[in-house]
Amino acid sequence: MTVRVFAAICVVASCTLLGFGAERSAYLRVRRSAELISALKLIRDEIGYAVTPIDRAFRAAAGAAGENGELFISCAEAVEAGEAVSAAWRRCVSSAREEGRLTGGQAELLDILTPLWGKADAQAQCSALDGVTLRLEEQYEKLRGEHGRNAAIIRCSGLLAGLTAAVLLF
Amino acid sequence: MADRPFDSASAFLPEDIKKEAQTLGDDVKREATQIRLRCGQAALVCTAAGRIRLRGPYGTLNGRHIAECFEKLCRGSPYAMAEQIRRGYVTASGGHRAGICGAGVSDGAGPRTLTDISSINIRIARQIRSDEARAAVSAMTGGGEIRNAVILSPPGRGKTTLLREMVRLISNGVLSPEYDVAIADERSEIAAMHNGEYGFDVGRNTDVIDRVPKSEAISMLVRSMAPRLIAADEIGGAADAAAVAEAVRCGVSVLTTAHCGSAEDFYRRRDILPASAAGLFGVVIVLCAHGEVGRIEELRVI
Repeated sequence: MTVRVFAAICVVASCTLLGFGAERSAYLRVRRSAELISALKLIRDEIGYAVTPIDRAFRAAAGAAGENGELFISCAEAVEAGEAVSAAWRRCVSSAREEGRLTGGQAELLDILTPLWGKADAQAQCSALDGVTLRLEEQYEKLRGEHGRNAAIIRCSGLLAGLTAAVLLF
Repeated sequence: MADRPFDSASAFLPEDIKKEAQTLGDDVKREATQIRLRCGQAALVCTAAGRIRLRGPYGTLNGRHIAECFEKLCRGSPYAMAEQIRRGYVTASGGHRAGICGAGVSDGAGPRTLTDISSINIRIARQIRSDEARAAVSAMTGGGEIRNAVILSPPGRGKTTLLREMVRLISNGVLSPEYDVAIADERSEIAAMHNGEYGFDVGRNTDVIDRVPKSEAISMLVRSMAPRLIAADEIGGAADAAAVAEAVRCGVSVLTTAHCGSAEDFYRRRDILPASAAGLFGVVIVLCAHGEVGRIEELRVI
């Protein structure tokens, strides 16, 4: 009996943790999306206001980009090493997508910027950044809404699944 | 032994040509003054002794090579160098100035930018330690004061290099007491400032204002940094003359350069500086127009 009770407690606890874990990863997706938007806005301001060279703008954005900071840092390093900005950007976005730091939708939106980096017209780059940021914000709102609606359900479903499994065990 | 200025300048070359440039002999690297790239021609490394052609795998350069070099010079950010490009040059990291030619895009008030870049001339920036600079500084700082000085020569004869070394000597107090020196570095050539750090040693008491038009930079420095000496490259025109006169009136000495063949030309030609401003310079240093770069032909103390 004691073993059964102990096993049931373990099952409930594990399922609850899984539920909380799933909710946490949904929350992190929302946060990463918000950080990416902040980073792009920062790049836009650096280019538009201070005409900061692109490698330094990427480095500045890395601080705001949280987990995606690596994307901007590696791109800045590639540019400083003499790689063309557009090639470096495409490579870094693709690698961030493969590593799961960007969703497919985010990577596709960021790829829109590829041919625009490193052009003579700062205004065109700012407009493109505004456009991509706007669409990322739409994605962010959608993700945030989904998370707000589903967070409690995901957490509770873990607990409920655990309880169900425990009852079945008995 | 690697020549750092040449290697840092050749890093801007297209990959195919860069490899060939880096295999050149050390003597050529040390003597090289310019690297010229022209669409449809082989790349050239220019030294006082002659020109060396770098043919690369394709024999001549094409538009893709020139575009690659231009992107490297701009660090992928031509928008950040729009004003320089409009004026036909780009100052790259390391203080190397690259002249550019291409198709101008005009907006009625003058060229707005250059596109379809067809040729690039990378002038290799070097720091030298020379007796010539010591002689010039001695003439400037004799008698416990700093005289205003101007360095004259045709283009490419070492004016900026000499000015940089004189600034270092004065700032470090090598031949005089240490003085606070400020540099109005409109083209980022004197100090080669990059991310707030100086690419060249310009002395321990030196402040640099970078990429601001000289006339404005001189006024800003006089008002804000209280320097004893202001150095600026390639002075000319009414606005520069007014800024120099204002600095001198405020008790700040000026060290500058001008494109000019002789002291007589400097005083005679009104297109460089008005007579009132030209008369402010107590030391005129004329560099040799031929032979060894940076050698002083005439040092006139007035």
